[in-house]
Amino acid sequence: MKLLIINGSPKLGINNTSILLDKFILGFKENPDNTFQICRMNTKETYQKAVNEFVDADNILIAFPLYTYSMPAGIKLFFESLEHYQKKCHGKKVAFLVQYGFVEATHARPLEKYLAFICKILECEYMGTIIKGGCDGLSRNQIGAKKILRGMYEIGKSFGACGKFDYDQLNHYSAPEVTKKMNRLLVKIMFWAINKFYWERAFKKNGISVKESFAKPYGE
Amino acid sequence: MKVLVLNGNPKQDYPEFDLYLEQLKNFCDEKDIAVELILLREFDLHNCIGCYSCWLKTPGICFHRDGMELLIKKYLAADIVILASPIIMGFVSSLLKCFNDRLILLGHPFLYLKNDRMAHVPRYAHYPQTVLFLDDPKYAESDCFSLIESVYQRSSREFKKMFTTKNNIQEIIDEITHY
Ligand SMILES: Cc1cc2nc3c(=O)[nH]c(=O)nc-3n(C[C@H](O)[C@H](O)[C@H](O)COP(=O)(O)O)c2cc1C
Repeated sequence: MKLLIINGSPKLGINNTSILLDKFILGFKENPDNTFQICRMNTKETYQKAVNEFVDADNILIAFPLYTYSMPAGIKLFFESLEHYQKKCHGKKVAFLVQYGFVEATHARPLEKYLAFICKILECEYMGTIIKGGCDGLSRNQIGAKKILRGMYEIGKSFGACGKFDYDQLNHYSAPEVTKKMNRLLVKIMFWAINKFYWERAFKKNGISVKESFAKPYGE
Repeated sequence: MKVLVLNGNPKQDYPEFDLYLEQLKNFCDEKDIAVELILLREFDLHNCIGCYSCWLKTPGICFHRDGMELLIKKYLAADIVILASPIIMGFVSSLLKCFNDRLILLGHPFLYLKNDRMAHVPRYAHYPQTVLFLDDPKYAESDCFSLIESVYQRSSREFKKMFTTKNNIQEIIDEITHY
């Protein structure tokens, strides 16, 4: 299979989307018949380039982070640029990868339905969406994220072998759908630790005190 | 009572949508409800680039100084914000989504439990009530509306309800002024 991979992370530099894509590609390439091409899409110029490449390709994987429970504005702009291609994408197969910070899969379910809907109006084949939460900080801590990265490789491998997703594998990878109701005290302690050891450290690195981090520049 | 209408219609060639919001504004004016109508496409807003400057470097302030400052001030000063957009390719416009993405600076990175769910601590003490206002294009399948609503219910602070151009202006205003 020849696969066009569109990375739509809005970030300018290193991004979690590309770290996951690297693993996917490693698995995908296990099949020597497979080739791929990567298109970075995060600026006005590259949206148009991505549209052109999308139109020319047969198999496409579109990857991006979840922004406020849906696609980032830039990905939406890309979809809007495809308005003239509605009903004209027969024969194309499109897959998606959506990753984000919060752990539960449920956060991405409305978006997943939307992505299937987009394929329907373009009249291309919807292959499915890889959904993975808990991906914040991948770029800083790849060792702690071993399982996430390994899983991505495995998905790339089976996709590369069969030319389609194994839905059981995707569901297994996205789990948990919702986290079990944990002891509230335990959760509070966990948040306290994240705030203290992750965020406060990040403030400090930037020369910001906790008090300053609560600045209200635009009102009360 | 202050109402802010943010019109996220990106299309010059779709004046009907703008006109509907003008009528809504005129209706408020007649009723002596303070209302401001802002056309987002007249701003040149950058998309959020996920740099987290607004959390870690210049708390509460975006890296892009492109007029968003003014919009945030108006947003926080309003009692009710109407987020308006035509449905394009089954979702709100990229223009309105850009505004929504950039509201990340209204939050603080710290986590807390809100109604037994994980959430970010609010930066400000008060936020306006928000409603969505969409058009009702022929092709819009009922699916679109429920999808958009579920996204906004989850993501927006103080999200109340979704209206469309099918709703009567008087009904909309009567309802939102009672929040
Ligand atoms: C504006 C904005 C909105 C976000 N919204 C969500 C969200 O709704 N849920 C979530 O779990 N993570 C959210 N995130 C976190 C990103 O999805 C997460 O950091 C992701 O791994 C970033 O991917 P990237 O590095 O490839 O850009 C948001 C981040 C930003 C900047």
